[in-house]
Amino acid sequence: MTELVATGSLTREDAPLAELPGGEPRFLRSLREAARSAYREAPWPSSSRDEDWRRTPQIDRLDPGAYSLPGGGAASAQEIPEHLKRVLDGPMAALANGRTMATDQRGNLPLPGVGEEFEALALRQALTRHPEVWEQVMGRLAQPGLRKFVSLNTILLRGGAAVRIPAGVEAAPIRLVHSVDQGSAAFPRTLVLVEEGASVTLVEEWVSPDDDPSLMAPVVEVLLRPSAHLTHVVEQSCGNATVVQSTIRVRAERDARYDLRFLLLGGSWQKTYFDIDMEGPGSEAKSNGLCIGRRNQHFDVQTLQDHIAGNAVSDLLYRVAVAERARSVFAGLIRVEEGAQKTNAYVQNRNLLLSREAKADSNPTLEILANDVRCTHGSTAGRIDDDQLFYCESRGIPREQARRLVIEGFFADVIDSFPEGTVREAADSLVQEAMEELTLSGALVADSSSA
Amino acid sequence: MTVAAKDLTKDYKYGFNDGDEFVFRAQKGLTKEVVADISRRKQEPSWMLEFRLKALEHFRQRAMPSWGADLSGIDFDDIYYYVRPADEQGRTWEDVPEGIKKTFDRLGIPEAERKFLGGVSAQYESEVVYHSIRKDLEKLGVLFSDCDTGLREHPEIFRKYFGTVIPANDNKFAALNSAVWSGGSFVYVPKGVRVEVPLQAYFRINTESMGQFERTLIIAEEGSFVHYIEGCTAPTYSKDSLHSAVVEILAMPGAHVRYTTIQNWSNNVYNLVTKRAIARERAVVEWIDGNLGSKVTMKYPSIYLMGEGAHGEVLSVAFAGDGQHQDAGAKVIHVAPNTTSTIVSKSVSKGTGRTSYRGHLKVYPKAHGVKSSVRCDALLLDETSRSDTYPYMDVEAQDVQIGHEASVSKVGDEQLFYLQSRGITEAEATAMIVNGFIEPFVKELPMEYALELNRLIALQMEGSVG
Repeated sequence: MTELVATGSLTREDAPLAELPGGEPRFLRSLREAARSAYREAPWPSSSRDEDWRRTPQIDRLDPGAYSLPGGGAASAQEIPEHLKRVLDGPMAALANGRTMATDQRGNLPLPGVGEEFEALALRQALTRHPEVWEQVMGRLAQPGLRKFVSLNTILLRGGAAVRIPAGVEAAPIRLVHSVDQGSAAFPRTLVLVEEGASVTLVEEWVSPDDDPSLMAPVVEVLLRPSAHLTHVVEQSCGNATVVQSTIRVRAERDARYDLRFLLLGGSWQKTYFDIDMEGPGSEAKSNGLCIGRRNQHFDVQTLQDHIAGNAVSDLLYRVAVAERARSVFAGLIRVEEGAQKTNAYVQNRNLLLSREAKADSNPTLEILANDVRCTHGSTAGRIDDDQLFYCESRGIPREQARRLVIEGFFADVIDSFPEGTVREAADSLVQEAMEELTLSGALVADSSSA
Repeated sequence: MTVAAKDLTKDYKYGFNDGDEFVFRAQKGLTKEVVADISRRKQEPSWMLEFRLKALEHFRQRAMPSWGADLSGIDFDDIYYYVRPADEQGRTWEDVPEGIKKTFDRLGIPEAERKFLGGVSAQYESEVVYHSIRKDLEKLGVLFSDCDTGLREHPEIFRKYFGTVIPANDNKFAALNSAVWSGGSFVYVPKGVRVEVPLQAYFRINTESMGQFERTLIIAEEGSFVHYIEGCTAPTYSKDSLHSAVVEILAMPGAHVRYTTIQNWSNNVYNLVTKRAIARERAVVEWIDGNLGSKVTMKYPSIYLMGEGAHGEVLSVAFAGDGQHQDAGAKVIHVAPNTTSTIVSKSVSKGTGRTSYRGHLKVYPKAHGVKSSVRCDALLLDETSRSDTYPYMDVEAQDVQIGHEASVSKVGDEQLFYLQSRGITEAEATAMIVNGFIEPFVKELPMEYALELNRLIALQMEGSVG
């Protein structure tokens, strides 16, 4: 197993400064220091005091000191944990406990096309080789003091991946798997820079083994130069005792396009931020995501579409099904800054309640400081439509299966928006797995609605 | 363009000032003595004094809200908490002091009465000075008076319901009102009685730095119907005034209560109001709420649907001109099963005005069969205008149908072009479009109010196109 550093000093009030194995550039050191003073200054989030955390009281009981922090150098391929081997097939790069593993001597991630078409490096090598490039991204989008867990990630990160697609290149898909072991906390950092006119699909998976508590706290920073295009797939299928704390921040420059597809399926509870800055005119962002909540899972998703420049379009569709005692919390803000005229922004959150105990809070919000805009949002909550069930049953489909069909239909447009081919198939099988679990638990049998 | 709203303040239609003509004015600031003095002067029973003093404690303990509008401009020590303009309550119109009468004449109160619009109860500063009620209403057993009279003459009904919908410790401003309340309306409608004409009252603020803390209590017994109208206009002053009302409504099984407000405080008033209704089985409560004036308004009419089959409706319009912040919204709490609600909010921001819709829709676990729809539309007229939408939705029941939609847009160029191509000026066309935008609200108002609202909108829209 990996060597562990002393964790005694990681508390809600303070965290020990980490260092990348083998050294790190000065700018990262100053980011860490800034993060540490921000971390010391900011009180621990509180569900009674902080609007962001109002519906997630789990934060009041979370103690970061309860998890061990992995130390040591880059992990070797032999260390790949069993649960991770399961998902390792095909070209991909894996990061265990926030450390990069399985790179060649030069730090290249084992992906086809690396070094030729584009760079996909372990974080340390990337920062050593091109500090001036990554200084423009790292800590610029997710500022060290932005949020408590961004500070923590900045202080404690010991590895990650940096992907840079040169101008005009259409790169092959990249897959990164982030995992965290039992009892550990992982703070991986992903940096993505897509240069002018380049395009790529990046798949990020967050995984962990079942049953033992762990903390997965990634930070992803994405900078899209003019006319760049990123299709970003995020799949959270952590084990049932993992707490997920993540921040993904994207900046889209002129005419850039960002497509986000996400699945939230695992973990015990999760707080996730998706922030998109529409910084350049003509930029476009389309986000489609789904969440299947079971047992007493809790998913708190907060999104931001910040229209800084005018003439940009952003769309967000988030579909949620909650069963058993699961709870979904959604807050989606469309903000149109002064002067961002001709903005077109939309948020839609649809919630399917599959049991009497399941809960869905929806809070799409608008803050509009320009006038020539079209901004709308919609939110619904309800149970499975009786008419749809009746239709299926009248055609001889048993109720349980009918319910599953309706739920699958509810998610269909999200899944269909995933990139065609293996990415979509993989996403679909993750969703099917969750649906299977739902079926086996009997959550679709119990006809609580007519009780 | 920004000049227009300043002109508006200057030419504010109801912004006249008749000069102070009060009989008694409490000292500035809020102390136990001031509260006790108010209670003593009103010769209240001891339970009310205790209620006030307890509320004062709550007020002192509560922090200012950290959300919503900017309230830093309020100085609680620089406010008169009680002013009584005339010694006696006027029995007939002739008894009302000349200066006050003049004020009402300009607001058109006698005309309103001549039109048989039910009881007219006009609040001038803190005390109701003129009040009449049609004989036939009295015969039906309908009680309509100011709240102080309600407490004096019907203590058994009053005490039973007072403070039960909005307890003194509900929030900081409800606590403030509970400590120093004065005036406001008391309405009691007996079982099965339908009050066919709307009951109305005008409220006004006239003394500089004077808070107005009226308290309204409406009880509609089983199967009854009442429509209460509250309209507000206030003269313009240079110093900030504070208005903090509390309105409590109880709709008993099968009762139907409609409450209509058009708020047009002058642009220096902080309007911080708590309005809440409880609806029992099959009861219907409707808030028709217009917010045009004030510097800052924070007002979220709420309905607690406590009985099966109850229905709640909130229809609101907010108009924010230069420097104004209308932080308005609605709250509907579905406690009982098979309850339904509709919220429609329309807001218009002009110049540097800011409108915010802040709502809360909650469905309790046992409230199955709930249906609710929330619709918010905002119109932004200028580049410097701002609009926010914060609808909160907590759904803890499964068998529900909840829908929410919001949109923000500007006046459509095609619509303007269409109208202008037919010879209508841009200013007129814009006003027409704004009027069309708020039409669903206006058509719910009685004729005189609809006319007044249209006049006020036209006034606000003057010079909006430059």
